[in-house]
Amino acid sequence: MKKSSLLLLAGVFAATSLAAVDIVKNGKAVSEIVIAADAHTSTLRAAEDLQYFISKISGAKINIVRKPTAGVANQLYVGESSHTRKLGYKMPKFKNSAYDILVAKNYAVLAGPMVIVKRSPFSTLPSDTRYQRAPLTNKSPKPANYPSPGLKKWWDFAGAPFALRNVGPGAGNFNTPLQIHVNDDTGNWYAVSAFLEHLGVRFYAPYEDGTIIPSAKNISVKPMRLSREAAFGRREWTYYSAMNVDKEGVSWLKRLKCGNHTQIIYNHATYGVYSTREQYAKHPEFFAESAPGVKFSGYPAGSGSPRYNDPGFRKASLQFLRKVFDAFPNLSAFAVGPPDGTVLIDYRDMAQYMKKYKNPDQAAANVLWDFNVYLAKGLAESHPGKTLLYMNGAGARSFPTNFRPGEVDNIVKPFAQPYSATRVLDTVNRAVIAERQEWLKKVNGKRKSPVWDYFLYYRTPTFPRYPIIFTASLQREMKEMRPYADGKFIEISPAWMSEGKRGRPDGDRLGMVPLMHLMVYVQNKLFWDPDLDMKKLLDEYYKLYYGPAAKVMKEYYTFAEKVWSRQESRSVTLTTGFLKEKDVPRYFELLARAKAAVPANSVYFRRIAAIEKALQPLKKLFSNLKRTGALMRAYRVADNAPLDGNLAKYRHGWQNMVDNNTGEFAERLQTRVNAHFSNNRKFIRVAAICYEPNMKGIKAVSTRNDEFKIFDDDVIEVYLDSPERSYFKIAVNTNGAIYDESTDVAIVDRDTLPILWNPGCKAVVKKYADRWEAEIHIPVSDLGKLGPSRQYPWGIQIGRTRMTGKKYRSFSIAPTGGPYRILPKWRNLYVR
Amino acid sequence: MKKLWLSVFACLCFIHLNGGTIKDFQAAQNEFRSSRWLKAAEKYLALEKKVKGPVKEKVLSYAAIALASGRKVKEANAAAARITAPDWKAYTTLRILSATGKHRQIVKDFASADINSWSEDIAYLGFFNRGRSFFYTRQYPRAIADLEKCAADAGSDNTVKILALNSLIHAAWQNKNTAAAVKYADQVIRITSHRGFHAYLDSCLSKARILAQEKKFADAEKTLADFNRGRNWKGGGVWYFHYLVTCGDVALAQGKKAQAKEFYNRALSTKNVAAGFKKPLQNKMKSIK
Repeated sequence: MKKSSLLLLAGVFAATSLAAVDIVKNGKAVSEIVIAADAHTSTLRAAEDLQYFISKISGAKINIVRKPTAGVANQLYVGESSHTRKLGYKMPKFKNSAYDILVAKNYAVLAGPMVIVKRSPFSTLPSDTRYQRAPLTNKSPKPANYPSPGLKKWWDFAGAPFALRNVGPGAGNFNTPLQIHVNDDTGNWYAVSAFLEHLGVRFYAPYEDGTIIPSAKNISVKPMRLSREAAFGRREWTYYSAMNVDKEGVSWLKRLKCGNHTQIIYNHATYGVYSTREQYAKHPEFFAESAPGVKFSGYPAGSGSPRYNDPGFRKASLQFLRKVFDAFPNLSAFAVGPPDGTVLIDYRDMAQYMKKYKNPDQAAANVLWDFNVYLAKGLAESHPGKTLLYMNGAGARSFPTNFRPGEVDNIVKPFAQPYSATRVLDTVNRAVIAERQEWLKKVNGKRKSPVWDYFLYYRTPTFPRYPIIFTASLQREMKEMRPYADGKFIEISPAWMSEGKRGRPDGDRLGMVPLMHLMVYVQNKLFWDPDLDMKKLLDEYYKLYYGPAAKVMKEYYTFAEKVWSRQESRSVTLTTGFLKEKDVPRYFELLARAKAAVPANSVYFRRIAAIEKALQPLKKLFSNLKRTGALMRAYRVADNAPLDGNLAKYRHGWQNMVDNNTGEFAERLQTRVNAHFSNNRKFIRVAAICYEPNMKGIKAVSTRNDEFKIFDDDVIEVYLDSPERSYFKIAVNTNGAIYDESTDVAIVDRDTLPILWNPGCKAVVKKYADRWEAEIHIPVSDLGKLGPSRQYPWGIQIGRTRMTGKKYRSFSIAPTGGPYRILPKWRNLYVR
Repeated sequence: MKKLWLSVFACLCFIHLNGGTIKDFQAAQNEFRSSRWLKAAEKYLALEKKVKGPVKEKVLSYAAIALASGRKVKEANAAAARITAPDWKAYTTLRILSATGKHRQIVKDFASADINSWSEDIAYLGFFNRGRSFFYTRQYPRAIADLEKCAADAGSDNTVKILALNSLIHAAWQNKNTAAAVKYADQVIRITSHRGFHAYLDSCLSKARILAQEKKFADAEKTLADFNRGRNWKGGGVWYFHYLVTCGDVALAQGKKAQAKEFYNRALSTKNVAAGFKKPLQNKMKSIK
């Protein structure tokens, strides 16, 4: 037995002297599946899985019954029942997610601990949410049925008009086709999966061609007892709303034994306390201000940010916290987490804390900690035994220096890491561990910490499609986590995000399966056994999944892991990055060899072809980085040049835009732009003069930063990339609203979302009778240290999108004939 | 932590040209701008085979206009006939007629055309061409209505705006509304980026003449002084000639015959001016007693 928290209570008995239990004989069923009369739906699903795969293996259909049938020789009991008790079966006492398989005499019992969460008595309709959300800007009319009965029930229960956003029993989405909560701990299903694996089935990928199913006319199992307990009780995946509808994808995760042994909610729950129309009307003081009378817009725009030090808000938060625990008794831990995005602190509180703590991140962290200590103390009084999860975020990541040992013992710090995949980098791995150890030394609650993880994430259709393989690093990570973490909550991308495919006839699915399935499979195996023999697991995968191409595919994956593990930046540019141009043909050469090694149209061929197809955009990655656009000189501007909308200070380098689709000079809608670089290299200024015959009718709806609807307005869009970073995008409309985002993988890792790249872009826009002018200030420290020079130019594109008038028009300094973001067409920016 | 991020870029472009085609388009435009009409037409027609959608309509229209400007009217009409979008088709026909000086035909065919409903890129040009045709056929109020609309919608297209305003000056003057004519001229004078453009020069001198006619001699002289400030005529050129003649006319209107003659003599001695301009001036000088 390995030194492991996995509990292998009993191995497979050779038991040659004992007769095997026959399930199928000569292609005919000689057994039946028995479940309890009141079996939970997930147990029925497990029984259906057993029935389905035995049928696929042998062609025989075995029946599912509620009690043993006279005359049927053998029984497969799925889950405990009065029938298993009659047999004298007793499940071992597990402390965590587990399964137990007992094969004896003429039966098998496949069972495990079941932690099934009841559906919430409260509910909210999309129309409720649409009306409630973003109270600072939301002007939508009240729906006729608002509040819906489920929401009204919650208000009555909670005693205040709190929202139900991010609040529930902690069992995850309810999958309608399967009629189960996706995070229910379904021990019976795990046992069935383990039993099927024992028969040779392998759940390597979801959907078509994903499962290995052996073929046999006879199925019999020798007597044995196999009991396993998971190393991690939290094995949770989400790919957002698709979890509600994707039967096959969720079934795959259940077959990989995913689920949570305990229920927690680690989410941005403060929204529920303050960010509703009702609360805004009654308690505007709950909303933090950035300056006197100016409320933070927050994220998503218009949501605001709470004032953590407001006594009323604190009281309401405690009431909310207590009511959540009252509503969902199974819930063991809850976070009254700050809103998504950067943690924003009211200017008055910030000023007060800055006097003492000097550093803005430290001051913000300490405000947040004080708020949590207040909640924890109140929770200890009303709900001893329950845990408060401390959630921080960008802008407040420091360890709170106002932490006082022994003050509270019911707070646990969950850990977040942008991507498991990036822990292949020693620097990242060391930093993650160091941060966790700092917390664990001081804030060590009564329970293990959950870990939130983006894992690996082909998050958009334009996200580079290089293979991301990190089996060794992941195993190292899971071993490192075992002493202090109870598992992971992992976000991965649904197809609509990663592939841009909405409205599939079969509903939303897990995204990028050909590229992701192996790592998801490995992660789920490591949840149960971090000490598993990785080489054995992978060798079996190559052999079973790729057949005659096993050797080449092993070479492919080994090469992919070697490339991904290079200790270089994740930002792939012409001059930097872990991926080299010569690697790309190597991937495709290996896949071509693999395809040649298997019969065309075989399942192996289809699996390899699916990977090859998913990787196709990789072929354009490096050619897309080679810019052919003309040079563009950025002149110098003083470091202290005012940002005042006076463009007279930008005397040189004015460029005329042309029609982005035809290259035609637009006489009637002329646009002139230039770029200036500060002497201290800290910022770039883009000045734009946009002539507009219809200034009165100009399209300008968005008034706040980072609203996607800005792209329905007339905007100037600036795109910049550098030898060290993939491109950044900044858009400004005539209201001066700004939208900025990063597509650079390393920056997104740091900021967690492309849109959360907020380096401090500013803009001053002035409107005249015949034109509007914009002066845009863009801090550039995130673009790296190389360039812009003739040797290391930066890519630049500046576009003007005009929505005013009868039809959409676009103009740019580097016409692409398509979207602005066709990188090879961009201009090469340099400074002398 | 469940972040729903809208990752879908709104790809609003519905017409696309690839890089090579953009260069072809720009090459044709360069020929057009250089008045090499038939070369431009040839390039547009070659491009037409590679593009589709709204760009195809535009390319065909440009080809037809280039052909008409190069006196290939039959071919121009053939190209226009292949345009399917009604507004682009009508616009192109109008431009072909305009290029060949068929203003009566334009007035006849387009007097009731709903130019406002055309694409805004061509509507203001439609008003310009129809307005000028109204002007040439002496229908001044209708000319003024169209040309004002053109000037208002021309945006940053100062070339067309000045041409429209210049026509407006003359239309208003012909219509006996000198105050409006001066107002239009002032609008032109404010567009300082086009001080060498013939319509700009004509507008300034026209303003001086109108003011002299109104006996506002000081204003007329100031207009001429402002017009001349900072210019280096290098002793010649037709617009220097016109400027001197206008100065002479303003002096003569005030009864300053000697001063007028001096201006006229300087005008007659300017270089690079066709004899056809000088002969009427010589006749005028003879008539001054």
